[in-house]
Amino acid sequence: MKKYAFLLSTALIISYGFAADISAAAGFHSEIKTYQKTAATQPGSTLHIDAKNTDITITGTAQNQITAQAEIEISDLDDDMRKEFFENTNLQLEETNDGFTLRVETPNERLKGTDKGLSRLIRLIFDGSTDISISVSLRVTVPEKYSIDLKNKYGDLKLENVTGNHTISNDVGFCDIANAGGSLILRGSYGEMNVSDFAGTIKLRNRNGDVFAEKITGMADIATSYKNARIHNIQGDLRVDAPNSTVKVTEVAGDCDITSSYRELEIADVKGELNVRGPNCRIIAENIGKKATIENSYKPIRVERVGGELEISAANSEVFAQNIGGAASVRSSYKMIEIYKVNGDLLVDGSNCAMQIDEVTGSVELISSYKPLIISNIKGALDIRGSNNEITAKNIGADAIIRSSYKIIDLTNMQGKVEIDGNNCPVHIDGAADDVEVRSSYKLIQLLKTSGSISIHGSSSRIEISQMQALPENSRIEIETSYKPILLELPNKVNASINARTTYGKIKTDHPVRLLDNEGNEVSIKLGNGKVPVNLVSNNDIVIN
Amino acid sequence: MNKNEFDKMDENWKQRFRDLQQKSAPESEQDKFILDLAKTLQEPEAPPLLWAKIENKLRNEKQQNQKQIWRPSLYLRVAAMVILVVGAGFFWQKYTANEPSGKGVLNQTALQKVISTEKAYETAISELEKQATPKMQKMDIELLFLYRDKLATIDEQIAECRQALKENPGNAHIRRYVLAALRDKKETLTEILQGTI
Repeated sequence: MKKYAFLLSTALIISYGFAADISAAAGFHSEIKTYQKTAATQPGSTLHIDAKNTDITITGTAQNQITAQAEIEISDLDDDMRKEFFENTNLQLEETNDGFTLRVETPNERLKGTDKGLSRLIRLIFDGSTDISISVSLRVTVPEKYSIDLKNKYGDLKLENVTGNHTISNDVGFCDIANAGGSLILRGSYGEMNVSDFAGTIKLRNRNGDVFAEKITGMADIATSYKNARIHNIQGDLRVDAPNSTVKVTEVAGDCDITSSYRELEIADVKGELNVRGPNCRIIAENIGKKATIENSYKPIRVERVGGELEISAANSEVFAQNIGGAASVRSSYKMIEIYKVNGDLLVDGSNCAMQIDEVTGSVELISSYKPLIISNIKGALDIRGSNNEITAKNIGADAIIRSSYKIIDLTNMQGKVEIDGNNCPVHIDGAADDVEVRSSYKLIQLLKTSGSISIHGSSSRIEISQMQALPENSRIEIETSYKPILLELPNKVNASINARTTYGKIKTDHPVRLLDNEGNEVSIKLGNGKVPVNLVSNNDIVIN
Repeated sequence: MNKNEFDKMDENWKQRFRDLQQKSAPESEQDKFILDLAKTLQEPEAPPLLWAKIENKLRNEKQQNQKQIWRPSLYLRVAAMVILVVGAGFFWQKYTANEPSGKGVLNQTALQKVISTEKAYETAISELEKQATPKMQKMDIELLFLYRDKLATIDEQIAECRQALKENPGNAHIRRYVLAALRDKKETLTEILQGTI
């Protein structure tokens, strides 16, 4: 039984094959014919090719001649028509002022609709058309130094080992150009472009197709859309304009300018400047030799190791930047901004952005709101314009000006002057080498280990100043609050003239005092030579130790 | 029991048999006698090589039956198998490839396969377009323009290739690019529906 099933299935396969090939059995099958032309030429000339439906291969050789071989395939014609087609087909290689023109001339326009009944009927049924199907494969050799001027549509192109000024338009087809040189203008649409090992400048224009360029010794100017652009090892400048394309660039010796949107951009090892515009693009840039300027929105930006300045202009983008050789300017909103190791000044404008900043050799200016800011190891000045930000800063090498509201401001080891305008902010300063000025309200203001003048205006704020490290003779202390107590701990052997005044509270001190009113609400204390004026005003208790 | 059998029996057994007959012994005693007698009988031994002879005979009969059907030589069978395998592979490759190779001119069968694949894509695209259109209207304006532009570009590619196919219907290269554009359009519409950007 199995034997019969096997035989039956075999017979079925064979009969299917024959049935499917019935048109071929009736004499309608493709046929290929080859045409050849050769001509002597001089290097440096130009070969013009005007083609259609042609796969073209052009190769440079050491010989001073052009050879052309065309393989022409047509199908589904009756014998007479096929014969007439091939008899009237020509491969023409004609000399021109600047070189040669090569083209294939076919009579298919003339033969259209002239085939006979059965052939015509079958082609109409199967193809939906009575036109002749044709495909051409053209192989050309030219001298190595030669220019190519080519127009083709619906065919693939391969050009190799030819140096000259090439102008190529190859629509709806794959282009592969390798080991060539000179200059190249390549236009195409819908097909993949691949240019590698090109000694010279290239300009690639692809409408909707992948573009790959590798090892280009000159400048590269590349445009495509909707697909991928992969570019590697460009010795000159690089320009890429690729909307809605994924772009990956590595090793550019010159400047690099990239425009895209909505996709991913990866750029690495650019020796010159980098300029990227990528709305809605996720952007990664690494090892940029000079300045980097990046614009995007909504998607994360990651930048590492920039030799020069960094300028990021983003909206709603998460930003991570590290090892920046020059000043950095970053603008974004709503998302986290992390910046580490900036060798210069840093400006970050991030509405509603949380920020973490570490190791900046210059000054830092931050603009933000609502989200926490963590800043550390800044050699220059710090200027924060915040609103409702929780602020933590430590090891700030120069003056700090901080504006915020409602959330804690926590500063440690401040080497320069500190000026805080914190509406409703708790303030905690641990270590201030220079003057401290604080304006806040309602919340605790606590200063530890200060060494300069102190000025505090706290509306309804409890104020505590302790572990004072020093009170220089040219300094002063002005502390004013309402409804909340003041605690002031002075260092030993201090030279101060203290004036303390309260309305409803008590003044407590171990130092000898002189009453300035009958009720003891205002007292003065002189310590040492009394050179440092200290004025304390509150409605509540004042404690002086 | 017949007379010959009775004569072959041992004298003791003969005597027991006679006793049973004389006293008209009950059936149970008669059964016991028969069982006892049966136990004394030796099992018959099969003649030597009986089973081997039977197997040989069966094999011969089977071979004689097989000779009635035509059986080709080993070389012919191997050649037939090679032809079948190669032929099946050829037919499989020729008639199951829905995408043209991108070179030359398609034969009628391959062309029909490609056209049916194109139609399948067009049907899928038509369905996807119905679903994607309302979603596009809710898109961010920039993204909307981008997708519109992309779809217009793909449509242009399809139209351009279709125009070329009117004059060159069996060209594998153009067919391949039509299919690529249709696939691109389907993927783009799917991307719109999934909102992956």
